[in-house]
Amino acid sequence: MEQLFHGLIIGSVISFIALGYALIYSILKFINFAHGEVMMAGAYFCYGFLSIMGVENFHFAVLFSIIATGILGVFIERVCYKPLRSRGRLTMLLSSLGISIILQAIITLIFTSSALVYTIREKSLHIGEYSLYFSEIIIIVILVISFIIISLSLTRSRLGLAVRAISSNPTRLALLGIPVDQIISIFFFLSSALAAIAGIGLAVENGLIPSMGFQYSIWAFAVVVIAGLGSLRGIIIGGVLFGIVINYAIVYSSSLFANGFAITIMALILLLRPQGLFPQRLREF
Amino acid sequence: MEYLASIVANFLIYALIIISLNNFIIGKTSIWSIGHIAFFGIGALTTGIMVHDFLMPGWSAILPGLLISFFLSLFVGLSTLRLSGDYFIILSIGLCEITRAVSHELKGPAGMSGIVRPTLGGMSLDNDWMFILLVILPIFIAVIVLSVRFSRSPLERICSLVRQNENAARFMKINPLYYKVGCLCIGSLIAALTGSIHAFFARSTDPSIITLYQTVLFFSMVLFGGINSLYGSILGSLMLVAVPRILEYFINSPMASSYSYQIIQLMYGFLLIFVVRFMPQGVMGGSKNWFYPQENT
Amino acid sequence: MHNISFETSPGKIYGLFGPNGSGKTTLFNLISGLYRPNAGIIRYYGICPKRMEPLGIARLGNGLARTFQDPVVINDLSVEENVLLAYRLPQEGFISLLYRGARSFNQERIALTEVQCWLAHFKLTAKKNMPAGELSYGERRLVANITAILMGSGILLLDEPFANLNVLMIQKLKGWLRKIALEEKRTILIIEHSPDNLYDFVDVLLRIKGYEIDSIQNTGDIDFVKKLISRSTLLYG
Repeated sequence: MEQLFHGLIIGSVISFIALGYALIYSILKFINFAHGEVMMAGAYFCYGFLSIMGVENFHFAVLFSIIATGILGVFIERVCYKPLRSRGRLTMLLSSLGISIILQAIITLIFTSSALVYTIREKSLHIGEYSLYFSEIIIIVILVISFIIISLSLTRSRLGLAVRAISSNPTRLALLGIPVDQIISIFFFLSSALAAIAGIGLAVENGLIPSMGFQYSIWAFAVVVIAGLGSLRGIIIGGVLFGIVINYAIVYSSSLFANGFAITIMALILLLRPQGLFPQRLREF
Repeated sequence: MEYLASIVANFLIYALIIISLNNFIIGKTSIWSIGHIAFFGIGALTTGIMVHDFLMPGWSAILPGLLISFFLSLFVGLSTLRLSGDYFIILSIGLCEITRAVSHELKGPAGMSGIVRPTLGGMSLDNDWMFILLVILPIFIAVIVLSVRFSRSPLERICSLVRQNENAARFMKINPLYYKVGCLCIGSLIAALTGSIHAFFARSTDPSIITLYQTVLFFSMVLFGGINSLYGSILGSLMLVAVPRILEYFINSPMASSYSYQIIQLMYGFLLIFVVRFMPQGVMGGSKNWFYPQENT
Repeated sequence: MHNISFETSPGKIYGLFGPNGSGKTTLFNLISGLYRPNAGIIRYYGICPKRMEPLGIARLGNGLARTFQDPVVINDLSVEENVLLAYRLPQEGFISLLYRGARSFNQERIALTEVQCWLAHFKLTAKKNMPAGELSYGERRLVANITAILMGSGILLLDEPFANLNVLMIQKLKGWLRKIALEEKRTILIIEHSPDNLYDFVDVLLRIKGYEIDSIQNTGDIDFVKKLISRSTLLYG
């Protein structure tokens, strides 16, 4: 039972990361490889706030980290992706590769490559014989809230329309007076903030290590592919399920096997049903 | 002496990897083989296992690696029929990760060692320089000759056509699939061969080359040198070999050297971003049009 | 498009016209195999192909070549290399990496001579080594036309071949097209808007109106053609 819950948390983390990829992809049609490292940066921001800057309250540190990571995401977008938008998605993709290793290098230089843990004293909730950290509960709550918000946005098809419009022809829209750049930046902020939540949650569970970004990126990719890049709700559900399954796989076999298994499934889906299990329908966000 | 030999060998091996990527795949097709380095790993691992565990005679141990790479690249090339660019990239990366996972599974995170070099006509190749002169250098020259022949043949024109507009190629009685997959196969085979040769030279394998980090390094060199430029590829290899040595020379403190890996990472990350933004045609003036998506008539 | 039915004979030039959006380019796309028809068949040289796709159709019988409304030219290659692409040489595949026989080199030499001759005819010799991406729009169209014609196919589909060209080039192009239609018995279909280019040049006028196509014999009288075009534009444009 505890494993199930652990898997749920991992799944939520993966969902957030996958959502981040999907959000950016939906609006710019490019895969932001730096996203995993942004997640890692979020986790390390929190560590920095807690240990180095001596923020007492864990929840404030989390809040600051989320905002800081959001700003980081927007900064990266403005400096690196925005100038390349007109030059094709390939160039943005290459830049994101570059940024991913830059972020990894910077974090490793500042925090060394050894594993770290948050020094927090947190209240736990006791349900029967299991105890949950407060932050773990919050993660799940945020997940549920996001799911509800996204489902509700189905009726607000104007948002979906805006996304599709921007993804197809941003320059023309900008000429019409729509603040395309601002909207894109907002998406980056959101996606990075989600990544920060994911990173902090992960760090609470498993600790911090600079390679955490890449490992979970691969899994988030797998979820995105299996669920389909267009369907956000599918990604959330898929992510949670995936997390539970992967968690069992790691616990009862090896993490290598779990990795290989995940990627094989992803490869199979790519070949047999590349649009994913929940292919993007035009009306859905 | 050994140190210099390893530098020269690394230069040649890196050059072979970059050429196989730049001058046969990236520069000739619109295929984004981000997982390309996997073929190097496959060549190395297969050869190592064949020689070490199955006691296969040295030179023939290269063949299984080539065979696997051939069929895998065939598979990857054909998958472009079904997968759009972004999904293909994910597949390519996935393949790279699978290769790394297999390597870890079979031989552990540090790879294998104790690979015996084959003999050449009874003559031992244990001397590093002999190996370089009789094995690595000839292969290097052969690949360069192949690349030059390519750019002077009708193939170059046809590949440019296919790269820009596949439908237009079809109207000209050219089958784009044949050329795309063919180029991919050749590039992958060269990478696999290079992997096998490296396994012999280093007498070991090291899966740490099959990571995204190394991929970024190689891609940044491809772009920096210039897409489809042979001189550019060689320049890129020179950079990869020279930069860490220069860094070592200037930053002498022992503490810094433990961070040299990260510093190099930082440098190449910035280099990639810089080149993509400000110098997409690279130092040696490769093709600029390569970044634009396929035209659709 | 509905109810499109017509026949062509070799050696004739057909002028396809109609208001914007009436489906002229769509018809070309159907014929060249880019689009697949929902119903009906298209026969090339009397043969109905098993699969309606560009590569197979291009290889049927004496072949098919086409140009596009927006001229397609390979930006990285020089003008000369672009036009050379029209020729399918022996051993131009991956074999050429290992071995290339004398026959292949000879064919390439012959092709090059022909290419250079025609480039000179159209006053492009000075630019023959220039990357085609740097040409002007009209020059690009000219290069695309030359390439398509030099493919030597029995069927030639030219989408607005005279647009953006100056009068001299148009005359030269017309002269060449008329010659190959007559002497080599090739079938040429042209999409054209302007009556000036149609009245003295095409043998048969094909009018697309509504969803149907009309085949009208050309009388060579410019007013006749002008009236034809303006009427179709008025009613359906």
